[in-house]
Amino acid sequence: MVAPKHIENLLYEPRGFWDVRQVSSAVQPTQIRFDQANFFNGEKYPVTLYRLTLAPVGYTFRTYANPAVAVPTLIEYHNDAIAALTRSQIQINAPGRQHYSKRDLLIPSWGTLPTWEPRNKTDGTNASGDNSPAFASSLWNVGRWDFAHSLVMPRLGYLELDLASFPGVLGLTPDDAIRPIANIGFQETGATGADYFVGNQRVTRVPLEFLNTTGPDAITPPFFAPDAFGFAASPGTSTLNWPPTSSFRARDYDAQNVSNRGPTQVLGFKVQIDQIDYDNAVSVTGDPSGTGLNPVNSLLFNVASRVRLRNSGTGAWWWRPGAPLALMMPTMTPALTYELPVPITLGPGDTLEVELTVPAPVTIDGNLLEPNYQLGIGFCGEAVIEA
Amino acid sequence: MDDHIEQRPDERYIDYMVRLAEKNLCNGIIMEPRAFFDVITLDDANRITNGSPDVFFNGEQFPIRLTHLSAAIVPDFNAGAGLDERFVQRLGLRLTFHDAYYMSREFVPIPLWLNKQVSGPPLVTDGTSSATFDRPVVLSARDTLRIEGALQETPTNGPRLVSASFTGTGMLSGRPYFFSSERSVGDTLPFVFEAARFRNDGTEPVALTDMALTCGAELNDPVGQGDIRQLAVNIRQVGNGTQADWFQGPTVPLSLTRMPSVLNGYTTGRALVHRFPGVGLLWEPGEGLTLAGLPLDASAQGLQLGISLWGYITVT
Repeated sequence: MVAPKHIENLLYEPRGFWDVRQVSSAVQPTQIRFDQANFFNGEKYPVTLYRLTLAPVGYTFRTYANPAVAVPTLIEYHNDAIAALTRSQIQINAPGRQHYSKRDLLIPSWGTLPTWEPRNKTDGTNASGDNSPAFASSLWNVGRWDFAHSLVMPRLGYLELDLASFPGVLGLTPDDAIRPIANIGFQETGATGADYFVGNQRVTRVPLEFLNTTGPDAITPPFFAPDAFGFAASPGTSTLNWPPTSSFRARDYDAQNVSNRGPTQVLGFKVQIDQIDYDNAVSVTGDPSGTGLNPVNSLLFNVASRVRLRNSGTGAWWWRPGAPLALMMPTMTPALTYELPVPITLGPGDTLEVELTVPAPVTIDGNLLEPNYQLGIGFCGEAVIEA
Repeated sequence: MDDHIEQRPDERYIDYMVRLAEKNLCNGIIMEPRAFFDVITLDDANRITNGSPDVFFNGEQFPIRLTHLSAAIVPDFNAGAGLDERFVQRLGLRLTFHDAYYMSREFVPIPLWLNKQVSGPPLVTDGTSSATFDRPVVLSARDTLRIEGALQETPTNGPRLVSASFTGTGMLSGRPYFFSSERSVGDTLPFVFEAARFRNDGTEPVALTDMALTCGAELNDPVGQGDIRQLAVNIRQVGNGTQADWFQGPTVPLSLTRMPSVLNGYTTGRALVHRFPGVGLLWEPGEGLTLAGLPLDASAQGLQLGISLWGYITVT
């Protein structure tokens, strides 16, 4: 999607609404409604939403199996990200005008856009054995959002993107050797005429922090549970939800401004998480199965975010702080992405209804399989502001 | 097309210059694909490595428009070490032309260059690269294509089945054409795909629009996934056309005459693809750019980064 030119007298700012809920199939009701307050347009501008994202949130592993256990028990079987996504159902409704279905639909039945990167080549070998390991989470691990309309930013404006500290995995020593690194980029171009710095990008490279959820300095993650199945009990050291070291700082952003004469158009942003060392460590010490083969989930699902424009625009957060990155990057994301055939426009004071249904409890040989499901939903679009 | 373009009264000079450059987007008599590629070994963390100076350069006498960049870790078979493609995440890239940096004066990590979705179905994307031509290639009657290829590494579990194919449309009849050839390859010696398979034996010229390269699994490998990283090819038209190689690589320190096919996945494949904004890069004869890479982490030292720029030449 190529962002069209700025339209005179209208400003567009990206907006997203999101929510994450953990539901147990062992506790009635198994059909729940996401909090409507989290989809409430509390601003004075209409917000047009054009993409929907769905994702399992907080899972340590993409798929998980323990072949050493003959009979699957609580955490030994289908307690992974893919199972959560493929077994749940969802219904979306813009009250009074748009119903996307009359009943709950299986999440995979929402026709997804091809928004993910090529997979790791882990199967097959050759003489050099030149493939990625089976537990590798992803090939590039990049997410991005190309805006439908460019964001016009004055000369002295800047963008602020913060990444939250995230829970580590049980048994993992949170040191620099395994610390994931986030690469953040905002792509931009000139705002007028023939843009002679088309394709410019402002970038930074920041470390991610492990959240402390145990011990005397423990803080409770405010956004979503670290892991639905108890694999994660973080021994992290960060007691800040938004550590300043994990932010694209204004100074760095401003220093990369290539235009000293006027506004720029921001066309979108990207976040890439280098979790190669983290994957290696999780496969060794964080995998309860002991196989070291279970593929680690992308941290784009687990790292929370917030973004806003400063010194210009509305100055409001583009979404309620804490959204998992994968939900707010609808152009390229490991989440399931669905393009709304008719965009939903939320006027001021308007909201959405979203229902989630998880399957009935499953038992095998009398063993209750993992009943918890943790799913996130995001709506991405833009606020339309009369200048 | 009007050859004279005036500067508008309210137009900045730079805008005028850009508009003049865009004038080059005219139709030529022949428009033929071009890719400029290099394989760079990134030696040391925090040390900038430049590409070969003679590669990213228009050495022909007609203008070239470049539309895409692709990048991937390519196997280092000289070192014999294992390859983990994920380490492309730890390499930064910067282009310099006309005293301007692209996309930033900072080294932009290669995944952040990505702005085009290229992932095909998982069943085939490991072993396939495909590209849609920016401008169709005219394969005149009696013309053919010379496609030279080689495997990067000798298969140990039996030969690999490799193929090259082109689709197009008859310029008079409008009927579809499909030219394809496959070959079983068990060593690293160069080979040429059977030229008769690509020969236009009809009575009309054919406008070729797409190409695909595949490299299958080793015959006796129980896993049937292909590996496009193992193949390298070069192509030239025989008959009409410029008769120059479509893919142009370095001559120093090592002459590479075939482009790693993983870099050819501009439409579908497993290379990172960046589409240049606007009209892309326009190179007059003698113009070019300088490419520099930087390992962002010590663990990325010694990796071989394959880079290509893809577009077409306009023979006027």
